[in-house]
Formats: sequence, C-alpha cells, structure tokens
Amino acid sequence: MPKILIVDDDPCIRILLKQSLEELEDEGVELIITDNGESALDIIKREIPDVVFLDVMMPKMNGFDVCNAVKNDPAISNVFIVLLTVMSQKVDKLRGKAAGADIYITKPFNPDEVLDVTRKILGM
Amino acid sequence: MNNTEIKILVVDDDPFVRDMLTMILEGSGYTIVTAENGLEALKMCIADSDIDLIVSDVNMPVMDGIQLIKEIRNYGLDVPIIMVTGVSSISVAVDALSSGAIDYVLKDEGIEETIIITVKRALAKHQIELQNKQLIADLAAKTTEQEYTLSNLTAIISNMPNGLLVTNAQSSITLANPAIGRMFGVNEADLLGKDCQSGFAGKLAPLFEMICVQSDEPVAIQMELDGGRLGSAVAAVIRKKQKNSEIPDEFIGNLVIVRDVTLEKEIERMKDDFLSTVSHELRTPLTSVLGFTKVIRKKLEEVIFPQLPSDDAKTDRTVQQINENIGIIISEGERLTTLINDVLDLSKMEAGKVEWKQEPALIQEIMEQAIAATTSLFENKGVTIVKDIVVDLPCISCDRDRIVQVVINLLSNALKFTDKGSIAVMVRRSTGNDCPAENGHGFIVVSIVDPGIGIAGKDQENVFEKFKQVGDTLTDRPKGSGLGLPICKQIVEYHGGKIWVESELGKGSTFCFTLPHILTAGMSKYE
Ligand SMILES: Nc1ncnc2c1ncn2[C@@H]1O[C@H](COP(=O)(O)OP(=O)(O)OP(=O)(O)O)[C@@H](O)[C@H]1O
Ligand SMILES: [Mg+2]
Repeated sequence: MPKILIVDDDPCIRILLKQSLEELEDEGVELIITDNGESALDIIKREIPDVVFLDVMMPKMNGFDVCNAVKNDPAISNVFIVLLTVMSQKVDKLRGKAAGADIYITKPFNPDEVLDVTRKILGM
Repeated sequence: MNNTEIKILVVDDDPFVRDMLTMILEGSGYTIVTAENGLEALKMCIADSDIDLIVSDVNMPVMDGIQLIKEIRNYGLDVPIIMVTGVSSISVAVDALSSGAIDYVLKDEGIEETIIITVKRALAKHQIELQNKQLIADLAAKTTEQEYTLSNLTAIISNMPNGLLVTNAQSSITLANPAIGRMFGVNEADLLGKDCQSGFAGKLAPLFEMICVQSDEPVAIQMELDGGRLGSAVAAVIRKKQKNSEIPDEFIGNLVIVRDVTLEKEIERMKDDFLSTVSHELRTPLTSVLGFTKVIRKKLEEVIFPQLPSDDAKTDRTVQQINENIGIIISEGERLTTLINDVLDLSKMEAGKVEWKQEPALIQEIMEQAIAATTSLFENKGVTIVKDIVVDLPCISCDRDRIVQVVINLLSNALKFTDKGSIAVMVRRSTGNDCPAENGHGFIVVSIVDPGIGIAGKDQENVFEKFKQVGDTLTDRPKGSGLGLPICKQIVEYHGGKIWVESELGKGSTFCFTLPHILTAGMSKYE
C-alpha cells in the first residue's frame, strides 16, 4: 500500500493535512507524520514514501534543503515531493524548482485540492 | 581734493624760512601748520592724523630732519616728507631720500616754484602709493580668502564619507579622496595620474569602466568594496560653464561618487525578512482557519446533514444558517489572504523588489485571458462584457501575468460597482492627443467602461491611493481593501504607461491605461 509522509512544524497544519487525506487512509494508505526536516529525511530514506508533503519554512532543516537532499540521492530521488509554501512570489517558486520539487501547493490550501492532487499522483 | 583740505606741516627752526614757506604754500591754497624742530613736528603728527605732508628742514636743534623721518616711521605713520636742504648739501638730500623722504627741495633761488611742484608731485606720488598699498592689501585678502576656500574644499573632500574620483578630459585621474582609498583598500595618492582608459585590475575596475562611458546621463552601478562591503557608484560628466553663454559648456572630465550602502542593504534585507516572516506567520493560522472550515463544511454536508430530519422547519433554517455562516468564514478568510498577498505585493513593488519579466505579448491575448478569468463572476451577476478590440494591434513588451492582473482588477472593480447592463472593454492605438508618442514609442490604450455607480470628481484622484475606498463607505463599504488600483498603478507605471479614470457619479466610470509599444517603420504612419 502507498505511504504518504507529512512534514510540517505547525501542529494544526499537520492535523489539517491528515484530515484532508483521511479518505485515503480509510482506503489503506499509510500516513506518516513528522514535525521537522531532519527526521523527515531519515523517514524518507527508511520508508521511501510515495508522496511527501513538505513545508518550506521549518527550523533547522528547511523544505528546500530536504528537497535538495532527496533529489540528489539516487536511492530516493524518485520520491514525489509536494512543497507547501506560503510564498507566492515567483522567485521562491524558482528556488523550489531549482531544489527539484515536483509540484507546489501554496498555503492557504484547499483540503479537497490536496486530496485530488494526491489521488492523481497515486493513481487512486 | 580741494587744496584747502590738504594740511601741510612746515618744520624749520628759522622763522624766516618757516614764514616764507608758509606764505608760498598758502598762496597755493594749502592749509599750513608749523613746527620749530623735529620733536615738535613729531608730537604734532602723533596728535593730528590729518597732516597730509611734511615739509621739513634738515638741520634743526633738538631733533633734526633725518631723525624726524625715522621717528615718524617708527610710530608707524606714513605721512610723506619733503626735505628742504641747502644747495651745498646734496649728500644730505640723498641721505634723506634713503631714510624715507619722498623728495627733496633745494633752498635756492627758484624755491617758490620748485616747492609747489615738488609738493604737488609728492602728494600725487603718495596718493598712488596709498592706492598701490590698498591694491596689494586687497589682493592679499583675496588670496587668503581663496586659500581659505580652497583649503576648506580640500578638507571637505578629504573628510567626505563618500569616495570621490575625478578625471580630466583625457581620462587620467586628477583627484582621489581618502574615502575612495579606504573603500577599495588602496592608497589614493597612487591613483593620481592613472589613465582610466588603459583599464585597471582589481576592485576599482568597474569604476574605471564606468568613468570612461562619459554619458551625459548619470550612470549608476553597485560594486563590491574592500572587506566585503557593498558600494553604490554614480558617474557623471563634468562640464564647465563658459563666461559667454553662447559657447557650449566645456567638457573637463568625469567624476564618480561611491557610497557605502552596506548598512542600507542590511536594513532592506531585514525589512524583507520581516515581511516574509509576517506573511508566513499570518498565513499559517489562516491555512488552519480556512482548511478546517472547509473540512467541517464537507463533513457536515457529507455526514451530518443527511442524517437530520428533512421535514423540520427549524432544522432546515439552522442548516441554512450554518451553511451561510461557514460561507462567510471562508470568504472572509479568503479576503484576508488576498489582503496579505496584496500588501506584500505592493510593498515589494514599491521597494523595487519585484522581478519583472520582459517578453513580447499580444494585448488581445492578455485581454482574453483576463476576461476568461472573470467570466463566471460576470455570469453570476448577470452583467455582460462587450469587447471592442482593434485588430492588428502591435506587440507590446511586458510582464504578461502582471498586465493580466491589471485587467482582472479593473474588470472586477467594474463588475463590483455595476448591478446591471454591460461593461465595455476597448483596446485601440493612442490617437496621439491623450498620450503623444515619445522616445520612439507609440502607445496602446485599454479602456474599461462600466455603467455603474460612478465616482465623484473629488474622489477620482484618490482611488489610486493605498487603502482608499470612496463614496459612502460607512453605509455602503465595498468589499475589498482598496489595494487593487494602487497595484494597477505600480504595474502600469513600471511599464512606462499611465492609468487614469473618467467618471460621473451615478452614470458610470471609464478606467483607462496605456502601454508603450515599439514603433516599427510600417506602423509609425498610424501614430
Ligand atoms: N469601476 C468603479 N466604479 C466605481 N467606483 C470604483 C470603481 N473602481 C474603483 N472604484 C472606487 O475606488 C476604490 C478603490 O478601488 P480598489 O480597486 O483600489 O480597491 P477595492 O476594489 O475597494 O479593493 P481591492 O481591489 O483591494 O479588493 C473602490 O473601493 C471604489 O470606491
Ligand atoms: Mg478592486
């Protein structure tokens, strides 16, 4: 069964993402949740999730750095990364592109959209 | 000067000679005073500064004529003295002259005439001497003043916190102040005489390059300074005004001023950081508020509401209210999101922080895209859009998404303040009257005409200001925050266009903006 990793330092956003993806959880998808970049990278290496929802602004290791690390490691570079950004500025999007993110979702996001996007990515 | 105003002191121990000289000189109209010896004469001169000339004997008791000259000069008086000497004593006359007498007269047959001539000459000579002294003093004062000004200027230039580099017309460096030395970690004296044209390695290279451009428009660049600091340099041409205004100003060289902008950049960066932190801190809770509300709405609709009894009026009303209230929370949350985006957008634009794209675009396509984005809003309100776009419009060079943003803003305003009827969207070439072609550009004009509430004359200039909403905002406050038009203005003006409104209260408004397009040979005849 597919695995989804949720990474955000804000507890509310973690709950919101979990609830947004609840339907998939009912269908058997495994949700893994963490609150920082470093442990995210560990989990990605260990679990190799299908999709990662990755917040950008986090203390210690930010989303861009995690993304970079993932995309430069051949063992995990296939992991699909959705960057969650609060910045709508094009420059930041370019920065994310450079870091290798697969797509973006800007905050505030619509929970239904998150679900739709994930279904598409997972082909479910 | 009238002779009676000229006072002559006659000094002689011989009363006969005194009287004779007095008589002769009074005959020419001079005012005469007399003394019997040098000492008496000296006392008189000290007491009376009005004495213009002394005519003195040489050999006298108490103090002789030669001593008198010396004493007079010792006292710092510069009264001219004529010596009257005996025929036999020419050597005494020479003595007298070398001691400072202005002239001498021999006690001779023709003394009546010679004394008059000599007095006249002595007075004239003294006058000239005085004038010369004055001239020399003036000159000295001027020189001191100029030296003072010059040393002040030099001190100002040396103490200036900004770096200054000046070249002559042959682009060799004639002035470099200590600040420029400090900024670039060089000895400024080593720069003097260097030829900028021949290039320079190191951090100063960009300065040398820019100083050689010699454009009449000041050129500005940013550059790295010594110690990792940041400098901002401006170069300008130095032209000297000519006395004759017909002759064009003379080109005498170039100058560059360098300012250390490290701190300013740091503050700017802090402001940017602050803005993005604020935006992050605001959007994160908004994400929760909006997201959870949407989750709740979905759960209510999918799980809770279907289980409620469908025939109960009170339940129906409650469900309806809950739906409405949730709708309000969501739309207000979205409004707050737009506001945050707009504030950030505008402050970035105002700070020149926006990265603009420059790409050729067709205004027709931009209009279509903006119209498509607002179609559903128009349909919901039952207002129609009428397009009147001239075919064959020239290409414009712009940041396409930004122009789409302008049109969407104007369209949504037009719709917001219009209840029925249709809104016209027109694009044409400028006729030249409202915005004449300039700098090789022609303009296209986009107009959005609505039959809505209109804007009173006094309010029309205010609507482009931040947070300004006009009309009766107390009873009829429009939705939105009053940032739409200021953003439009920034975008249009960045592209070199203008934006304005023509409106009449109750009759509707026309918002227009222009954008420059490059003239091509075939097109220019239409302008
Ligand atoms: N087409 C129009 N007809 C009448 N009034 C207008 C029109 N367009 C703008 N205004 C007036 O100008 C004000 C400022 O407009 P602007 O677009 O800047 O802000 P807003 O529409 O109120 O808010 P925002 O665009 O930020 O959501 C409006 O509030 C309204 O009073
Ligand atoms: Mg508006």
